[in-house]
Amino acid sequence: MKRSYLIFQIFILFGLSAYVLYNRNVFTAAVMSLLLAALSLINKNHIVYYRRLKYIFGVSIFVVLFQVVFNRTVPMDIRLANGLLTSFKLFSISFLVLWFTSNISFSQLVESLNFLKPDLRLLIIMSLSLIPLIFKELEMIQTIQKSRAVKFNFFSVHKIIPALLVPLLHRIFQQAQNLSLAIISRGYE
Amino acid sequence: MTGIQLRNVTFGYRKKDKLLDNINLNIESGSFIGITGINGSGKTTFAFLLNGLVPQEIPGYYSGNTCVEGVDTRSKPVSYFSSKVGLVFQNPDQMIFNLTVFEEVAFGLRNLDKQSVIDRVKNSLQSVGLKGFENRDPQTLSFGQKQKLCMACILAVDPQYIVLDEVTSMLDYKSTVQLYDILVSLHKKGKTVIIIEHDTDWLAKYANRVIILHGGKIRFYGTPKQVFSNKKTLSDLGIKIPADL
Repeated sequence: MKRSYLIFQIFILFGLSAYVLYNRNVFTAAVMSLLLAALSLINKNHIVYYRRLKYIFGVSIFVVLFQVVFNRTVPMDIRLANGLLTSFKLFSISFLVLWFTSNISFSQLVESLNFLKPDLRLLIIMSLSLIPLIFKELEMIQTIQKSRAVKFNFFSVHKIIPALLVPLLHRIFQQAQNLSLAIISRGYE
Repeated sequence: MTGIQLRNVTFGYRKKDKLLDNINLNIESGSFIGITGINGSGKTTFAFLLNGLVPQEIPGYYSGNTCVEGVDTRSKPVSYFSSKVGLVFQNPDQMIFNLTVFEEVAFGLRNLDKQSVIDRVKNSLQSVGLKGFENRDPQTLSFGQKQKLCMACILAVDPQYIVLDEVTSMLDYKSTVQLYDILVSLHKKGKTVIIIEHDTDWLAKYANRVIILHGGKIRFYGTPKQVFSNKKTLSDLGIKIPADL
């Protein structure tokens, strides 16, 4: 894939994301979401899209309910409109990011950043390369905690957060420290 | 002056808690040294001493002198010593961050011209058995292959001293044998190998000098036969006695 095409795609992503974020109209936000959902059907990985986005559905419903129940300073129709607008925005942004990441590999993304200074590029490469590791660690910690009878559901969030976050943060900081030592010991100043 | 000399080296994060306590050692160039000891005995800190990470990057209470080929590790930056002392970490995921195997190995070769970099990367990958893996994503490699990749990264720089910090602790038997084969071939080429290892069977088989660290002090130093003959004391220290001596 040519670098110019990649940069074009990045600009499209940012442009559409900016439009979604600044849009205040519920109707156009809904049309945008539906359009993106329809577009995703063209992609052969659309099953993966829906599998990943099922969590967004849950969060969207929660956002609407939250607005309706707690935002009592404004009338009901505005509460509902606010909730729906936020949900559609969330949905559209998630779709856009999924669309982008499923069409562009990590290495292609970094390749498009060649115009940056070497130090800055290294920083971005290191940060981005740590993301899959974080998810891998999170998955591992989740499995370990499940084996220790920690139940992962919506009603036990207060138990999940320390059980997942504390070991995860510990490992991330440890990993970052070791990585920096490894890089220094390989001659990087 | 060749070799690594440690004179009265003491190090600790706090003044009272000494991770290394009055270490005196002369590591001769071309030797194969095995270091063992129980957890927390100071093995990794010892490894970090040899290329200047301690005390330059890991600050603490440091006294004494560590000299690599006559140069004090405090007198020059770690990057100076990285070309002389290659350090391989226990967990390869702590070292690997580039997008391709080629880029990972080429990371330490920034000051060379393009053709030299290509040649060095190819040679080092070939010597660890990863020829043809140049364009692979390092994260897709198996654990053993990742460890070999880390070895290749160090070999590409061509340091005289290769320090390995418990590299075999997470490897299967076959990968461990392959790794030791690589180390033996490097030793035959005149490289100094310093390996930190829990499994003393490997040390008894390959090392020509063994160090037993305990509580930050060198308790024993000598040939494997000399060191492992102190069976009673070693058992008390929690060190495994090798099956074949």
